[in-house]
Amino acid sequence: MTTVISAPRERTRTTSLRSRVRRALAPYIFVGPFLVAFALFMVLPLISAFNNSFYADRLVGGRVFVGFDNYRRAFDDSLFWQSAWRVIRFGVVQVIVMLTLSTMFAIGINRMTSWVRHVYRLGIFLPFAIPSVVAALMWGYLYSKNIGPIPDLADAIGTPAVELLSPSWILFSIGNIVTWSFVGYNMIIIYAALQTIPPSLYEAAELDGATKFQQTRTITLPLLRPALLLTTVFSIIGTLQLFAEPETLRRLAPQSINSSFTPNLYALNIAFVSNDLSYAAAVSFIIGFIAFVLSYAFMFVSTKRNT
Amino acid sequence: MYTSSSQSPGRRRPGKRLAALLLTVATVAAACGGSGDDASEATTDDSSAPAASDDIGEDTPDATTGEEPAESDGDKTDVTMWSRVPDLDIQIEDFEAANPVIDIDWQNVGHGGDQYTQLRTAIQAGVVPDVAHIEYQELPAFVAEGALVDVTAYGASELADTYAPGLWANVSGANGEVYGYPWDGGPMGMLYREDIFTEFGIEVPTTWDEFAQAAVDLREQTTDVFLTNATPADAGWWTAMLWQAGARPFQIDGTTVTVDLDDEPAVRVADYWGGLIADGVVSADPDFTPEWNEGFNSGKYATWIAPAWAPSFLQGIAEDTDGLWRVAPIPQWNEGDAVSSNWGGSTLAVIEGTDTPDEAARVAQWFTSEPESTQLFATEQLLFPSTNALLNSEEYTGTEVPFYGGQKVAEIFAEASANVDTEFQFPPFNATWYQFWTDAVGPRIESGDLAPALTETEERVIEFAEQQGFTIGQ
Repeated sequence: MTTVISAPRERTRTTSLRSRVRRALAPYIFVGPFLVAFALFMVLPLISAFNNSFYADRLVGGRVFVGFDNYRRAFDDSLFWQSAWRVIRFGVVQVIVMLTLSTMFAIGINRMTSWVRHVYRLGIFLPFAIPSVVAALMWGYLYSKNIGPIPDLADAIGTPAVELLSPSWILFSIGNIVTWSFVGYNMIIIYAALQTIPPSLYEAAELDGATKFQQTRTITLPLLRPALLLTTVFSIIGTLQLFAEPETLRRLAPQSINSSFTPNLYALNIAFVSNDLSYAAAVSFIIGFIAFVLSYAFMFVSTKRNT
Repeated sequence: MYTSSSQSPGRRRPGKRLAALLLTVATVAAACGGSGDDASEATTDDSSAPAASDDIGEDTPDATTGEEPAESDGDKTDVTMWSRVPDLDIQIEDFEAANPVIDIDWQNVGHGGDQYTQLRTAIQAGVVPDVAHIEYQELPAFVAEGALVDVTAYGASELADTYAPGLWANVSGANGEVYGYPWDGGPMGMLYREDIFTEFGIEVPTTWDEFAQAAVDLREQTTDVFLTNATPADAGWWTAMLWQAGARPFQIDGTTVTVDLDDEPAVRVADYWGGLIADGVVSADPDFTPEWNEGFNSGKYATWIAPAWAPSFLQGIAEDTDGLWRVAPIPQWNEGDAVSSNWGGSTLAVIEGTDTPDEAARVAQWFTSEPESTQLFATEQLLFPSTNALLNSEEYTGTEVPFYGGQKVAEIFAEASANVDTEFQFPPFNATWYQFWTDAVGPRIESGDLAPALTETEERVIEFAEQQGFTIGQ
């Protein structure tokens, strides 16, 4: 009898130990492949680039340690700060327009009941699936003054066609491409957040006689805050990294987009046109730092306000 | 992603948020250090001749020859060659038949800037291709980086009369060093629409003065056609213009660089084109864009001041104008002169660090000068020849091209090839100056006030050269 009883007890103990070990190990096994790749392709290059940013590799004189010279040079580099300032101004307008549209679309689709909403959702999301270079090429064609349809459209309406690739319109034109590409992506994040809002809240509000508009203002938007925060931070970082669109349009509009139009474009050209990898590394770290500061400042401000 | 965002109202866990932020920021920084693929193409690939459009399967550049040199297969030596010229197999077969002791491992690692970035990476890593395809304007940079073998030790100095003088000057160092074998060239000429010239009574201009007058005359009669489309923002085209006018923007003497971007000929060229643009008698659309292609196809541009690789390129983009084009020498600054310059073309260079420099040099020399294979390059891969033998061969230059009304196109460019000014020098940071120039001139094109862009570029170039450790000559 006793043996019969003790045997299963034994077994439960060992299995539970084994399963405990297994359970403890499981997360590491799952994230393991990622961590390896992350260390190899992200952490190591970052360390190497950081190290490299303290050297100068000159055509005459070779590689020398220069301390913080590259960073000092970047702080005095008006082209770099012009580019940073340009994307920040660009972002303030573009991110607000894009996220307003995303939120409106998400709320609209969430309200729809028929199958049509699937069509809308997919249609708005689809541009995100188009590679940014392809998107920029496509829009570049639409913008062009002789072969694109915009001059014809303007003609039909009877207004003079704006030159969308001219210096005064270029930021608008790029903003349009970026918004078109990312409005759906942000919409999906916001839409998912909408779905987690319990319907009972709306039912209660309805009983209290709240209008649809009041419901949106007092229930939906406050509960969307985390999703809006997230999409805003992503968008701030994305804006600072603005690259593929201006790079692609540059060939079409050398009068409007120079090699230091955005910080990333500038860093890339320093690295691979001028072969000054050390300076490019320093510039890249400063861009990263700016993205960090802006994102954190945004989170700080937006959380402060409501506590 | 969205579940976490909708559940955690953020503000409770600043530590984790901070970590997440740092992570994303790290991604930004790391991304900056990486990929330059699509970028460099547009910026440094201006001379990528017609051949560039055919991209042969992207072999990965593992370039193992550096580690395991030679003698892998009995007495055979492996020579790795990087080139973007399409269908190279044709000539490789011929080479290996003629040189049974050498095996060529051909790799296409992309063109222009892509390949140069890869090459620099390979040099850093110490596993280099033995031979690489490098454009003339990029040679001095690789020489300054110590990346190229002086091939005079392998008999190259005896080849001075083998290649066109303008190209030979571009591969030769100040003290007789030779850093590359000229493979193809791009002497400048003028393509023009004979039908438009006839319709509006325009004579083929032989000087730039006549050309300017023709631009005005044409514009007085029609608003549909411009005599030409000027592309100052394309530094390759612009350099060819400066070169032909006799500008000497760079003089290199060891580690001393003399920069004079706004010398008299350069200002003359800037004022000339800027004036025509400001007067509205020539257009100034950026080149190698769909709109520009359409400009040729629809008859918006009546000429193209263009290099020897342009005739076949034009056939590809302006199909509707078949048979209407003709070729003439480039207009001259002084009546009676016959000065041309070069835009594009490339060399085969032996890369420092190769274990088989002798064989590598043999490969490079054979591919660029062996009569049968160079003939094939000219007719199959459409490289404009670099060898005097081919440039003087009536069989080659006598070919009549239907797109050009049966004209002997190569004959005119072969002559231009012999007239290329041999004094022009590229700086050891050519891609940088090209970029600075495009940045400076771009916003000035519409107004036509181009000369200040020369001065602005000169200032930036001097600052860059000093940063790179060069002494600036006076």
